Amino acid sequence: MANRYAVAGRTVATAATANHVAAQLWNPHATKSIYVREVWAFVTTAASANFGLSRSSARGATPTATVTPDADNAFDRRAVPPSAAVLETATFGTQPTLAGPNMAQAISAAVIGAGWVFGFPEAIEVPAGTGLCVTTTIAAAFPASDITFAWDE
Amino acid sequence: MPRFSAAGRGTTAATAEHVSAQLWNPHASMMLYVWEITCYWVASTAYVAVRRSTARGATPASTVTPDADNALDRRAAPVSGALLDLGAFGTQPTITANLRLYRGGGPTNVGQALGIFFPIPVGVPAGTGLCICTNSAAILNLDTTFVWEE
Repeated sequence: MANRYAVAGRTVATAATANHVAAQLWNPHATKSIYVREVWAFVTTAASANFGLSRSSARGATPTATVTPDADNAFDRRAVPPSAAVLETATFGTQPTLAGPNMAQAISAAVIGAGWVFGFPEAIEVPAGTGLCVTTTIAAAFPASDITFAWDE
Repeated sequence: MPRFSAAGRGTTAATAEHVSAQLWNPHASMMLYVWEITCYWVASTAYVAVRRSTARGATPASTVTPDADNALDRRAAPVSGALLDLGAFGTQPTITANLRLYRGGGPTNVGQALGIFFPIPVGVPAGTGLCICTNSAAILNLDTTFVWEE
């Protein structure tokens, strides 16, 4: 049976550049896929977020912060994620390489607390050596936000 | 059956029955099955209709070509060659009768959302489309996401 994990972090605002990444769930495993069930994003400043959900094929570098999930991020609290998946948050010194057109888009009100909980009844598979990113779809900063990913592996 | 998701931002003129987004199925024989459409208001008051299209129209502002990255299992591009056309269109798609009608909010309601979920998916036959349209003479400007299987 697959185990479920969740991890979260607060980003800083991205640059006002289209397709910059606010947060990335990166799967560094050599062979193992992870299966994303939920993506949450809530803005923490009174600014509108232009949300895009996109895959990444290269990790980028020097995010402002990296959250490394441990066993406390497992719903059953038994073990760390075998994939060693990590959450990286904006800004990035080197942007992740986005892959393919956006899978989802949305825009929020310019109100603190505006945001989304996206659920995927059929999970998004994130293969080994790839990621799933929250991006800004236009040349406007993705505001500082609380972002959560939940996945199975 | 593989599931796909593709998204983009489209707009219209302030003209009734103009299309802001169209999922077009260019395949010669196979059907698409649409499970979800979500819309987020970028600006403007809007009445929204879901309609079929029987001719694609021409010169959309942009066209998104989904690839394997749009597959939830990331295994392959859509076999149908499905495309997401985003308005405004130079030549409007030819649309048919309303499938569903919705009322959007006012111009201050940026970020207002409309989630359309079909318990039984809407079949989109070969050589036809499914559209988000204006239902009044007011501009639509939406982030729209289509989720389908094929």
